[in-house]
Amino acid sequence: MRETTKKVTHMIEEKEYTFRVRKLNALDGSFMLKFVAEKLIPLIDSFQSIFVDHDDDEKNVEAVAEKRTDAVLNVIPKALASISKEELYDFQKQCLNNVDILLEAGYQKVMSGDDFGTEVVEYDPLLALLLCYDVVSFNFASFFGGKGLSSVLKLQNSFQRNA
Amino acid sequence: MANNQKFSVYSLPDVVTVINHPNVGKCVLSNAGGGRITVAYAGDMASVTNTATGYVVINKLVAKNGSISLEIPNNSEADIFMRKWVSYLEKSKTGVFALSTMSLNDPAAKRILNFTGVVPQKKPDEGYDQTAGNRQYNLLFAGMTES
Repeated sequence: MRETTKKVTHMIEEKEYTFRVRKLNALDGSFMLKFVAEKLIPLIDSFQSIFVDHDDDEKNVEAVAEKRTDAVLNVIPKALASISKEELYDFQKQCLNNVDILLEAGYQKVMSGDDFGTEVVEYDPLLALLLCYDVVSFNFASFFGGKGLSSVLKLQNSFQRNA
Repeated sequence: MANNQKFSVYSLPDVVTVINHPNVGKCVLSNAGGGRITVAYAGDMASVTNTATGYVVINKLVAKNGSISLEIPNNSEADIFMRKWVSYLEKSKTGVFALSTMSLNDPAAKRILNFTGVVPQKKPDEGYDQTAGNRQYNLLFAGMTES
C-alpha cells in the first residue's frame, strides 16, 4: 500500500512530541507545489546568504556580524515582501491541516479548518513553520528526487545558472 | 427622529466556545457543531439567618462552582471530540482528570467567561433515531471568571 503518513518528532520545551504528517491529495498538492515553486524556493534561496559556516564564525567575527545585520535589514524583509499575509496564512493553514499531534489521548489534528486543535502548536510560530517544512518535504520529496528541499534548492540554483 | 431608536444585537453564531485539555487537545465547539449552551451556578450568593425575635443576619456566601450543559448533535466534529475527551478522562490518571478549561467569548456583549476544572458530570445518553439528535453533555466546573 502507498505510504500516506510519516512520523516526525520535535522537541518542545524539553518534551518530545510525535507528529503525523499526512499526504496531500493530488489537487491540494498541485496547488501547494505552485506556491512552493513560485514563492518558497526563491525565499529559501535568499536565506542562504544568512547561513554561515561555523569555521567562519571563529575566523572573522566582524564579517559574520555584518552578514547577520545585512540579513536582518535587507534579506529577510525583501524575501518576505514577496509573500502576502493571506498567502502565508493559506499556506500554513493547508500544511497544518495535514498534521496530527500525538497527545496522551491519541492523535489530534493540529488544525481543523481555521481553528487550532492543540495549544502546543498554537502559540509556537517556529514549531508551526517546522511542521510546514515537514509537510512540504514529505509531499514533494519524491517529486524533487528524494532529497527533500535540499534538492529543491539545487534545482533553483541550476535554473538561475541556465537563465 | 426615527434614527434615534436604540437597539442591541445578539448573535449565538458569533459566540466562540472552546474546550481544551492539554492531553486531548482543543476544540472550538462553536465551529464544530456545538449548539445551545447553558451555564448554571451551583451555590447561592446570599442567605439569611434569623432569630426567633426577628433579628436578621445576611450571610454573604462565596460560590464559584457550577455546571454547564452543552447540546451537541450526534456525530458532529464537536461530538467526536467530546466523546474522545470523556473516554480519555474515564481512563486517565487522577492528576490530569480536572485539567480541562473552557472559555466562552461573546463579542457582541464584549464578555468572556473562563471556566476552570471542567469535568464531565456523566456520560451523555446515547440515542439512535432516524435523524441525528442532540446529545446533552453535562459538565461541572470548579471556578468561573468573567472578563
